[in-house]
Amino acid sequence: MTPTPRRWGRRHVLHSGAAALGGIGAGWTAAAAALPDTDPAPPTGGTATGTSGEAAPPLGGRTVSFHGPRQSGVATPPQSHLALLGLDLAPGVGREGLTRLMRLLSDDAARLTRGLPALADTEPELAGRPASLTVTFGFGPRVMREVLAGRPGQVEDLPDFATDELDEAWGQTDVAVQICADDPLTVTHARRMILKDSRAYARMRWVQDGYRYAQGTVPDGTTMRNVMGQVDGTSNPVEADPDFDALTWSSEAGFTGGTFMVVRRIRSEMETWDKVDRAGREAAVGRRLDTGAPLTGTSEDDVPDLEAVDADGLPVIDPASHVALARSTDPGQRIVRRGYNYTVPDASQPTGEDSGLVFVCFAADVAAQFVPVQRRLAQSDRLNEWVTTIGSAIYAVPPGAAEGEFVGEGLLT
Amino acid sequence: MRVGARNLVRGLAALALVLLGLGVGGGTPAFAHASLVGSTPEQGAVLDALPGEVVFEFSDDMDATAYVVVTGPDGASATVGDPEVRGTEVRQRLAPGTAALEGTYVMAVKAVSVDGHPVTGRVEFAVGRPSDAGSPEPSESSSPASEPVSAAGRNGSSAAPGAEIGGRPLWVWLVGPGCLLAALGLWWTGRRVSS
Repeated sequence: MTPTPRRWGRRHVLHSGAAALGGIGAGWTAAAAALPDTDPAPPTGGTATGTSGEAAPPLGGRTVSFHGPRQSGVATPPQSHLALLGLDLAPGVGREGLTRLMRLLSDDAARLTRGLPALADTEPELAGRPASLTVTFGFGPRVMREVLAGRPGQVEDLPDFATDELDEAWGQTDVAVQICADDPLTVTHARRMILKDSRAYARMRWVQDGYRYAQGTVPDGTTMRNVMGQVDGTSNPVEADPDFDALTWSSEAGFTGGTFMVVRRIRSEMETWDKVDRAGREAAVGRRLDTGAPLTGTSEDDVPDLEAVDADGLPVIDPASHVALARSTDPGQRIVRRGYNYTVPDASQPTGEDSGLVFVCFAADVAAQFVPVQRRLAQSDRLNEWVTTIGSAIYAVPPGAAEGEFVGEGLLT
Repeated sequence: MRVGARNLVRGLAALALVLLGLGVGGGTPAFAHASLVGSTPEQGAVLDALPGEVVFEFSDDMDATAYVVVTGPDGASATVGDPEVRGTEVRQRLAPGTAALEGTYVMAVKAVSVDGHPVTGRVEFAVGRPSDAGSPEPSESSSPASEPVSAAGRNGSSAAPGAEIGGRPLWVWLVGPGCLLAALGLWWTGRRVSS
């Protein structure tokens, strides 16, 4: 079996070389296909300190003021993590009980958002990293109608939409508490304190956890992607826009600085979505998957040209695509979207999990800004084939509280 | 040992070829596309008069919202009203052809199957005689054109500087096959040396 040096040398060098090259060839091709795309745009900005070599301070110390004429968590750039609590007031809890509850919860929120333990906080160390924590409160239609009858900020139930398949488990509640922060442990602690202090007055019906990109994963201001891979949230109104205030904040006397929050739990039908190729996915949305650019443009911020036709005269962007129906020529039909992805175990699904979007949006006038858009989408959005709304709720979000006040004080007292 | 090395090399080469053949680079699972399977009139048909309607026939049931453009020899639209979708058929009424122009007509459709796959198609037919000798092209045979809806957009973008496939420059895709070819060459040389 021992080969002569000459034969061993030539043949084995050649064969070893062939094997090595073959391995490299196969490996290279597989890697080129499997490795993530290199992002042409290197991450920019982000560090709080301008000096090179100096580490940025941890995000945990950042705070967003709880107090002010408007509640935080609405115009606040979305943090990475969400816990949205849906609470029902206990039987017999009226204006007095709700007042006590809001006083307690506002005090918790005021402390926790500063990085201070709540009163009787049993895990005070968990309060020390506020990580841009915001806590935002809303009252459902029943509370406004029965407990706060005659007060400003009244809110109607959302109408039925044809494509909804609502599960009461994710339905309308009396109170919503939106907790957001850039650290999940911070969210968890705030959530526990709020639920503990609610116990005497309310029962938790649901919690909708959600997530976006973690801080630092993408440059600040990057539009998030949803679990279907789409860039989700393009052309969202931002605080710097001249019409942001009018779109977002109520000017009703006694409710000035308040707003309204729509919560929709939208399941992504990933099993059937998996069967759609890129062309089909892009046609359904009217945008490219890679850049989020409209099919008539090259960058995410390009305005979709809904009139554009191809050489045969056929529309480039399908008039029934999501982008074509979601956009309106009426600039008043816009909302501040602040949604989060969700993924939860679900034994009824083939993969054992359910994922989608906790759609959260804010508008000064839901009936004028949100409902007409949602009606159009429910009627003919191509994307309806792969998304199903399973939860729906609406809340009046009272104006913010000044230092020493509690949220809803103007309505309750 | 000799046999082992040779088998190893052969195995690697085969594996590489299989991987390439599988389209590892594309990363595209096999999708069940809806497609355009026929039309009335058929591609290349020459008719005595303009029909009252045109029909596209698809392999799957189609969603109710579809778009059809029928363009006459003068470039003007020949349609009346919106297309009607019935199962696998998309029908489009045409303007009453009392004084229909002679020449080539193009009928184009953009539709989506009920499970969400977009299909576009294009069929040429003529009334009286084709508009000129060069059209319709005989090479198109009788099978109508059918392609995914955004193919045009993608082609447009791939004309941009630096051709890409799957978001990577072409050379990236050529390195692997190049190595494999070189490997096969070496293996062949080694085989000759050893025999």
